[in-house]
Amino acid sequence: MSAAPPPPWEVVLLVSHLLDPRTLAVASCVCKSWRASMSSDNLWKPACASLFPSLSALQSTDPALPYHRIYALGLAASRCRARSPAKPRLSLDDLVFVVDVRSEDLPITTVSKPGDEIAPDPNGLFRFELGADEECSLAMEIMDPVRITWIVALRGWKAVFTMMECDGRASFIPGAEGWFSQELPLAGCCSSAAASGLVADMKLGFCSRGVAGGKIRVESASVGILSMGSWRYASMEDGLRYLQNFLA
Amino acid sequence: MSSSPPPSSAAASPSCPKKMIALRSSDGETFEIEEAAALQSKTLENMIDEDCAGTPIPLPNVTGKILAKVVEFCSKHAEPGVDDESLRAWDAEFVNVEQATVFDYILAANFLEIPTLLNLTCNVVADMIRGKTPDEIRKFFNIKSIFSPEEEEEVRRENHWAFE
Repeated sequence: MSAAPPPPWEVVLLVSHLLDPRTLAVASCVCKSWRASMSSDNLWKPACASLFPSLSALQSTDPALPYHRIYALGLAASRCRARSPAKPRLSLDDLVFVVDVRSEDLPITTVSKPGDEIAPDPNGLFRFELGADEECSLAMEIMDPVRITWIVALRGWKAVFTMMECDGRASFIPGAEGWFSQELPLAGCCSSAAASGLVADMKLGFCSRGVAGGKIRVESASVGILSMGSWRYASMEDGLRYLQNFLA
Repeated sequence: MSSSPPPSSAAASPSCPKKMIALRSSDGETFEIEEAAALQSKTLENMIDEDCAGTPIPLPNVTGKILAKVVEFCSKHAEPGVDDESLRAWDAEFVNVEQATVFDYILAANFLEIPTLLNLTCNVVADMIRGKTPDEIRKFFNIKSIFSPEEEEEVRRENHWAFE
């Protein structure tokens, strides 16, 4: 274009009052004098006051902190808070679920199911019916002490994570379920003393069909991850993300 | 039309022949403007109140070329019975001039405190800035960037959010 003279600084100043924060920020990168005009506190203060009123506390702490920086901080902070976690890298097909039930060192039943043979929960939750081979389950007395173990492994036995290992009693009543749960460790950021808010949950179904003498067998097993806060099952994605910390 | 100033402290009556105000530009040109039109400028309004409207009001910050257009603008905006749409179209034509002239209009509107003209002209320039990258802005307005490489990096980093 022609060699027109650039806008006088008074013009830049007057026009700056009409610009929105994003344009002001882009315009600050044009040249030194534009940077000075476009960063002026009185241009940024109204936007900060309306969008990030709580951050005005920062200005009181450090009066030298310019409002255009407070604005950038507020924007970054709200984006961080709104950010949803990345999709899990693990999928159910990468996993093998192993459930072991023993009573006083006697193996009662062991169920091992690869992820691709497990039906996903219709509601997208991290909970699964594993079934159990009745034929293979030994009989035990009602109220016998049992030790329950649930392990999740990466296919090919590349890594394992013990979801729960706990002691309890077999069901009170034939046909009713035995319910076992154990708090899961916190992954990553805090020390193990802090609570993760997640619980490994298992229900064992017992039955007395085809068993003599009032004894019972394990006929089904279902497992899942529960959130303690809402007492609801975690979503499939949340469950996979959790396991990623220990397996991937 | 009487050219003698009215008695002191008397405001011009609207039913009288229209009072004309004389203005002198920085380069010595004289222009006449109706009082009603002149009142659009807060600066002129103050001067008229002070009853020094007998001799031409000197405006050292405004050249004849620009002052002529400012008078035209104010006269148009003081015209009775002009509908909004026509006025907007007229305004759009008024600012359809080269960059440097728009800048002169802005400075004159600021000096003379004419809110309508200032708003109109500043918005024209604002529209030229919005949506452009810094490089595009520099090219458009023929601005040389005199950031040092460190300053350039710093300012980009501070404002990176605006580029996302």
